[in-house]
Amino acid sequence: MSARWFSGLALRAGLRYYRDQPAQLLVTLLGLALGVAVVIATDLATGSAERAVEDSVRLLEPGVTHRLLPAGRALDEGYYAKLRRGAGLERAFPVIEGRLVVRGGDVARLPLVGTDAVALFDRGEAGGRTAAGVQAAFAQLLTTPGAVLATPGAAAALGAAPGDALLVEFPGSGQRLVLAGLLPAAAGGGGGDFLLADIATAQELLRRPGVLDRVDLVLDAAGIDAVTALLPPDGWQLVTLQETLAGFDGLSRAFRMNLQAFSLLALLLGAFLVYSTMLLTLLRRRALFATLRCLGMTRLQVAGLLLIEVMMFAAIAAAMGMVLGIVLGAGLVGLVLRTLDDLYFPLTVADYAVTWRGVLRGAALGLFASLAAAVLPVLEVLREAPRMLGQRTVIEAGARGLAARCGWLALVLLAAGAGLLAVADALEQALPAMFLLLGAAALAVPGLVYLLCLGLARVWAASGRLLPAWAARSLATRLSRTGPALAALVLALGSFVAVGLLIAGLRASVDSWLDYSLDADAYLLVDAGLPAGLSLPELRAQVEALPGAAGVSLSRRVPLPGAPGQAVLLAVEPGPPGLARWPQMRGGGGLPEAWRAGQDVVLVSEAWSRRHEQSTGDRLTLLTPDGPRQFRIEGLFVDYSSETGVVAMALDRYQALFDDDVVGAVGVFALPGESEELLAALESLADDFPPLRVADSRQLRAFSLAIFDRTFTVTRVLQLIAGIVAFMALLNALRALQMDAGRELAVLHALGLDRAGLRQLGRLQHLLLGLLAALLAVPLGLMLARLLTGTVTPIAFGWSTRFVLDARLMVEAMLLALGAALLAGWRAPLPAETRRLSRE
Amino acid sequence: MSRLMRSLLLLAGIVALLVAVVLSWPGAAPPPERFTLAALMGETAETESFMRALGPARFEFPRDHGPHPGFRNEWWYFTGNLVDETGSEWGFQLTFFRFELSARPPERDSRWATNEVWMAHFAITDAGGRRHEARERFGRPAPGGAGASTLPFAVWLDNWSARSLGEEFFPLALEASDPASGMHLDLILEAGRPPLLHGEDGLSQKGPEPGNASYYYTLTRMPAAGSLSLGTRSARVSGLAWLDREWGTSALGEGTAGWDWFGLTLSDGSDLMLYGLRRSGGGWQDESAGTLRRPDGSLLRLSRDDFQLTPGRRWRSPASGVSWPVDWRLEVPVAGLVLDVLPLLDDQEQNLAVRYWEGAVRLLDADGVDAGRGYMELVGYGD
Repeated sequence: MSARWFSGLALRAGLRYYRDQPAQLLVTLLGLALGVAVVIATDLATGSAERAVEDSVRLLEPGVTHRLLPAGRALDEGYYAKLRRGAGLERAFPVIEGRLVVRGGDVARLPLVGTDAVALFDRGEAGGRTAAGVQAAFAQLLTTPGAVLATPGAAAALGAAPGDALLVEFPGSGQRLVLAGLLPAAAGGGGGDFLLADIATAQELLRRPGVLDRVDLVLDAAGIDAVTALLPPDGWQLVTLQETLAGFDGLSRAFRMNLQAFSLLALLLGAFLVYSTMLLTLLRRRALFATLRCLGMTRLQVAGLLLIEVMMFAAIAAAMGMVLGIVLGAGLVGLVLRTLDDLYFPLTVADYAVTWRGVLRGAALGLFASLAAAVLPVLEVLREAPRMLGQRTVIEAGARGLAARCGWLALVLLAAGAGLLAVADALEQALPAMFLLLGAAALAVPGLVYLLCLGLARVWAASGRLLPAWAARSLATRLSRTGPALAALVLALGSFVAVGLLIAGLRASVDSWLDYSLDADAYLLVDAGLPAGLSLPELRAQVEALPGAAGVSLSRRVPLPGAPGQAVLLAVEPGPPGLARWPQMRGGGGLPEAWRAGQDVVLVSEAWSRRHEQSTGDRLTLLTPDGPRQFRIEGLFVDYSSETGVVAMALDRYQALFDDDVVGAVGVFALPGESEELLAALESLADDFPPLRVADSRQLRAFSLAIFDRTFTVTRVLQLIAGIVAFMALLNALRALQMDAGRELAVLHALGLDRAGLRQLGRLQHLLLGLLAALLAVPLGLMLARLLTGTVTPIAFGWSTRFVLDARLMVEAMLLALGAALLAGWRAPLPAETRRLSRE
Repeated sequence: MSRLMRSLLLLAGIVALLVAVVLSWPGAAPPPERFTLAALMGETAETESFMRALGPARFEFPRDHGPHPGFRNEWWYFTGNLVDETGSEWGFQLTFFRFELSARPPERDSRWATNEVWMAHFAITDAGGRRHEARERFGRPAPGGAGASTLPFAVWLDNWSARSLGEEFFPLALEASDPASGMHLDLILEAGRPPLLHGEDGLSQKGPEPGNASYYYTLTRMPAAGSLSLGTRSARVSGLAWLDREWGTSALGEGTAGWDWFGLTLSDGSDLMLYGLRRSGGGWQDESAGTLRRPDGSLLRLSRDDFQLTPGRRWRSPASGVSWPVDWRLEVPVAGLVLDVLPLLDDQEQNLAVRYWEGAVRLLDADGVDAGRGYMELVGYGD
C-alpha cells in the first residue's frame, strides 16, 4: 500500500469528521476569519489614515517642504508680502483654516480651508486635484463673496449641488455661501470632506480678516536661507514638513499601537479557537491515527497530512478574513480618521486604499497563527506510541500534566510581564508586557478551572449533592477539550471588561476635568475680534454690569511659541474667587501663590510633564518676542485637551511678555441661581455686537463629551469584536463539552437518570462553564483595566486616568457568558452516542 | 515527496509570483492635462460691462505707461536682442499681464479680496549656450504681491519688476530672477524712439465688432545694458529693447486659431510690427495688421493685403511634440521689403500655462545679408 493511499484515506476521514461537525467547523473558521479581518482592517485603516494625514499636509501643493508657523499670535499679512517679494518665493500658500456650520438642504459642520487661489491656479497639473478644482471655478472663487468648492461628500452632506446658495450658521450667522464647484473626488471616498475657498473668502467666512494660520512653502536650499534671513525676530518659525509630520507621527504612534495591539489580540483569540478545534478533532480521530500508524504510516507522514488539513482551513478562513477585513476596514477608516481629526487636526483628505501588502500581511499572520496553534496538538498526537493513542486515561492524564506545565509557564510569563511593566516607560515595553500578562492569564485558565471544578465537586459531594458534584468533576476531567476554548473565552471576556472600564474611566476623568475647565456659566467667544469701537475693558465692564453677573475669566489659547507641533500656550485670568475652579491641580489644591504674584511661572499639563520629563520646580524656556525666557514650573494640572501638552501662564504676564492683547474667550460667572437670567442678558448683548458669540457652558460640555464619545467609537467597536469572539469561544467550548460526553451520559442513563435529568445535567455543566469563565474573566478584566488606565494611557497620551469600577460592565460580561451558555445548552440534543448506547 | 505536496508547492510558487507582479505593477500615469487661459480671456457675460476700446484715444505719456483699470486685459511686454562682450547673442522677455475679473467687484472685508489676477512671463535665450528657458508666475495685488503704478512708473509681480529709477519714465530698471534655473536679469533701459502707435492712432482692431479692439503702442530701440544669466553662463550684455503696451476688453473671435507676431528692429533704422491672425480653416483674418516706421519717422500702416507671411521650415519640439514654423518669409511689397525671419535658436518654445513659441530672431534680406534682429511669437499651434 502506498503512502498516497494512506493520504487519501486520512484526508477523507478528516473531511468526513468535519462534515459531521459543521457547527464546530463554522465557528472555528469564523473565529479565525474575524481575527484575520480585524488585523487586516486595522492595518488598512491606519495605513489609509496615515496617508490621509500626509495628504492633508500636502493638500495644497504636493511638493510642500516647509511651513511657516506663527509664534504667539497669527501671522501678519503684511509680513507675508515682504517675505514673498524679499525671498522671491513663488510657491507660497498662505493658509487659514476653521470650521463652518453650513445650512444647505441639510446642515453640516465642515472644515474650511482657505488659501491663495491664484497660487493654486499657478500650479497647473502639478497641483493635483485641488488645483484642478480651483482652475475650473477660478474667477468665481476670487470675485464672488462666499464662493467655495466642496468635496463631493461635503456637497452631499449639505444636500447641495454646484450653483446652490448656502447659509453659514456658525461662526456668526447669515453669511451666504455659493457652492462654486466640486473638487475632484479622491479615489475610494471615505471621510475627510471639506470646503475650499480663496483666502479672502475664508477670512471673511471665518470672521478672521487680516489673519493667516500658517504659510506652506516649497523651498530649496537657497530659499531656506532667504526665508530664514527674513524671519522677523519675534519668534516666527520655519519648520520642515518632516518636523510637522514627525510631530504628528509621535502623537498618532500611540493611537496606532493601541489599534494594532487590539487587532493582534483579536488574532490571538482566533488562534486559540483554531487550537481548541484542532485539539478536539485530533482527539476525536486518535483511533484513526492509531490505525494509520499501526498500518505503517510514519509520524512525519501523519504530521504532513494534518498540517495540510490545517492549512486548508486556515486558507479558507484567511480568504474569508480578507474579504471581511477589507469591508471592515472601510468602516474603520472613517472612525480612525474622525478620531485623528478630533484629537489632532482637521483632516481634509481621505482615501481608503486597499493595499495588497496590508491584506496579505493579515492573511499571512492568520496562516501563521493557525499553524502555530496546530503544532502543539499535532505534536501531542505524534509523540505517543500508536497503541496508546486510543486510550482515554492517557489523554486526560496528559491534559492534566499539560495544565500543570501551563501553570508553571504562566507563572514565568507573569513574572516576565510584571518585570517588564515595572520598567516600562514607553508603549514599546508596556504593550508587550501586557501581552505577556495576557499569555500568562491564558495559560493559567485551564489549571484554575481544573482546581475550581475539583473544589466545587468536593464541596457539593460533601453536602450530598451528587449530581452537581459529578457535573463539576466531569468538567475537570474533560479539560483537554474545553481548556483552550475556555482560555480564549476568558481572554475575550477579560478584554471586553477591560476596554469597557478604560473608556468609563477616561470618560469620568474628562467629565471631572470639564467641571474645572468650563467653570464659568457661559462664554463670550471673541476670537473673531472685538466689535468695532468696543475695547476689551469696555466689554468687560459691560458684561460685569449685566444682571446676575458675578465676574469674568479671560483666556487666550495659542500655539506654543518655539515648539513645532501642537503644544499649546494657555494664558488665563481665572474667574472670581469662590466661583472659579480652574485649574484642576494634580494632587489637589488651588492656584499657587507665585502665579498671582506676577512672576515668571507657569503650570504645565500632565502630558507636557511626561513628554518633556519636567515637573514642579523645573525651568522651562519659552520663545518670547524679546528672545528666549525662562519660567519656573509651579505645578502640574490635569488637561485632556492636548496630548502634546499645555503650558499655562497668567494672562497679564502673557500680555506683557508676548505683546498680544487678543483674548479668545470671556468666561462669565453667574451669581448663584441667576445663570438663566445672565444667559439671556448675554445673548442680547451679543445681538447688539455682531461678531460676539455666546456659548452656554452646558452646551460646550455636552459637545466636548460628544467628541469624546466619537473618539472612542473605534475602541468600542473593538470591544464589541472581543464580545463576539468571546461568544464564539464559548460556543466552541460547549461543543467540545458535548463531544465525547455520550458514553458517560449513557452510563448515567443506564444507572437510572432519565432524559430530563440528562438534559439538566448538560445545562448545569454549561452554566458552570459559563460561570467559571465569567468569574475568571472579571478579575482579569479588572487587572487589565488597571494596567490600561494606570500605565498604558499615561504612557500613550500623558493623561492620568481614573479607575472606575463600573459594575454594569461586569454584569454585562456575566450575562454574556451565562446567556451564551444557556442558549447553547437549553435545547441541545443528547449526543448521538448516548442515544445509541441507551437503546442498547 | 508526494504528488500532492509537489502540486501544493507549485501552487504556492504561482501565487507568490502573482503577488510579486501585483505589488510591483506601476500605477498607470494619468495623461498630462493642460489648461488654457480661455477662462480668463474668453468672452463672458460681463465683457460688455468692462471699458472697451471703441474709438481712437489721445495717449498721454507717461500717464498711459501706467495701468488702465476698467479694461479687462492689459500687458507690458518687454523683449530685447542683446550681445555680450564676446559677441555672443542673447534675448530676453519679461512680460506682465493684468487680468481684471469682474466689471463690478463687490465690497469685501478681506484685504486679500481682489478683482485682478496678474501673470508674468520671464524668458532668456542664450544663443551661444544654445539654451532657452522660460518661467511664469501668477499673483494678486494684495497684500503687496503684484501691481502697477503710474508715477513713478512700476509694474511688478513678487520680485520680478520694471521700475522707473526716478520721477521720469526713463531710465527704467528691469529685474527678474529664478534661482532654481539660474535665470537672472538685471537691465537698465534708456529712452529710445518715441511711442509707435498701432492701428488707428493706437486703436488696434482685433475683430469686426466695435469694441473688440485694444489700445496698442510700442516703444522701440530702447538702449538696454546690464547682465543676464542662464544656468551656469552669465554675461554683461547690451543691445536694444522693445516694449509692447496693450490694453482692452477684446476677445478672440470664434474662428481664430492663433496668431503669428513679429516685432522687428531693422538694420536700416526701420521698426516693423506685424501680426497675422490665423483663421481656424486656414488663411488670414481681415484684422491681421502691422505698422512700419521708417528711419525718418514716417509711418506706413499695413493691412492684411499689404503684406504676406509665408511659413518655412518647421521644427518639432521634443518636449511637446508640437511642430512650430520657425522660419518665415515676410514680404511688404508697398515698402519693397522682403525679409527672411530665422530663429537664433529653434527651441524657444515656452511650455507655460499657455504653450507658445516666443523668441529672438534674426533677419536676412533678399540677398541673404543681415537685416536686423527682433522677436517672434507663435501662438495656437498643436492645441
